[in-house]
Amino acid sequence: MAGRNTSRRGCLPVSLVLLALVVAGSFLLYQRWGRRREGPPPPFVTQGRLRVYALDVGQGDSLLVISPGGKSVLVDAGTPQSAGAMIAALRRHRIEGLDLAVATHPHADHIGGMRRVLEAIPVKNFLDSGRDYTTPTFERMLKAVRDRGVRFIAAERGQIFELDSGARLEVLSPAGKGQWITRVREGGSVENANSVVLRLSYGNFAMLLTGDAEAETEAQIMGAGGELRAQVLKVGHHGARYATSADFLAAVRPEAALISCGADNKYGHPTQETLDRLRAAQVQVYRTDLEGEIEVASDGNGFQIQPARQAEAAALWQGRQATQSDVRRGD
Amino acid sequence: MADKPGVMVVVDRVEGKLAVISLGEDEEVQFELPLKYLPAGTVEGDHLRIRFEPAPESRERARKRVEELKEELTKGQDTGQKRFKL
Repeated sequence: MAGRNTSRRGCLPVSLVLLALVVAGSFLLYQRWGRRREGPPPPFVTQGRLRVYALDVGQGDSLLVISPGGKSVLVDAGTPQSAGAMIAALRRHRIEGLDLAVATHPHADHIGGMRRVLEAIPVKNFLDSGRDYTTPTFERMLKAVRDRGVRFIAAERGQIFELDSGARLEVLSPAGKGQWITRVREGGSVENANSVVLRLSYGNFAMLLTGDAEAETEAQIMGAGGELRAQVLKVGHHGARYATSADFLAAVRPEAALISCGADNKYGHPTQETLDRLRAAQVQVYRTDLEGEIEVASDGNGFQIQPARQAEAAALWQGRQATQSDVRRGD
Repeated sequence: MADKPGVMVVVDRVEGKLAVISLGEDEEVQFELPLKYLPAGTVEGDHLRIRFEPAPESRERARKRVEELKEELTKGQDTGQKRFKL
């Protein structure tokens, strides 16, 4: 009897399991069938909010802007090594095409993944600093722009890119028409200094996207007049010491700052000096090296910042050390 | 004419197809290079002399190619356009 009972007791769960499998299978089939009938998923709706994502691309920069109505802009494309992860992030944010891609300047920690983006995702417009550069990465990126029939635009101060819902990007730098910054500090980079600098605005909210702008760029932007005030600042040159001057911070008056850099960078980014200047200006700091991808969202008035993971406050104010005494470029 | 001195480096180790190369007396600089870029038969512990020479002709060729690409990309464009609707 015990065996029968056991058997009967066993029979009931088996039946239930079979029934559950049939129900689950039917549900899955329905879901798949339903999806096929519905076609592609509905377009991503940002619910009236502007969003900016500082993608986690290691020691590089890549910012994704999604307007309230769903227009998308990619500002820089990280390193060649991070291209796969960056494109996966774009897919995760349901980006099926880009209305604009921006190469702030031709260094590979900013354009390293751009060719692969151009090959993977339809891009309508391409904004470039206008500088000519002689690396294979830059040349192949331009070839991809040409081969994909993307509209090429050389950046010039005063250009306005209208997204939707009143959201727009304004070019603050370079000045354009060959007015390059050619005098930089010893060891400084002319390419960094001529980075495309953009002011993203939506209602009463604004954010500055600075590429690898250096103090010379900041001085030129301040000298040009125009609106600089922004609640959020993407810190120039990964937090290097020769950017984010105290004067610039006083002009922009940011409440929060994003620093895009890698946990394993050898260049000492961000430097303690830059972090100290930000702290003195009472700016809240967010770092991709410690917090991963960072989301900024605004309804046109206030804004919220949500990092992917939490970091200790003390660590956020701790600068990194260059690992080689003879590395000057990243200072 | 005597050879110009190059930079002496040491192959610290080989990790798969990568050579880990050390530079300096205290080996304060280390970098990796695929073995295919090193002389055939390079093994761990080898000392190598590397030499960097400016190659302006190569740079000039690249500059010219980029210039031509830019011309192609901006051909027929209104370069004075200030407003763009995305």
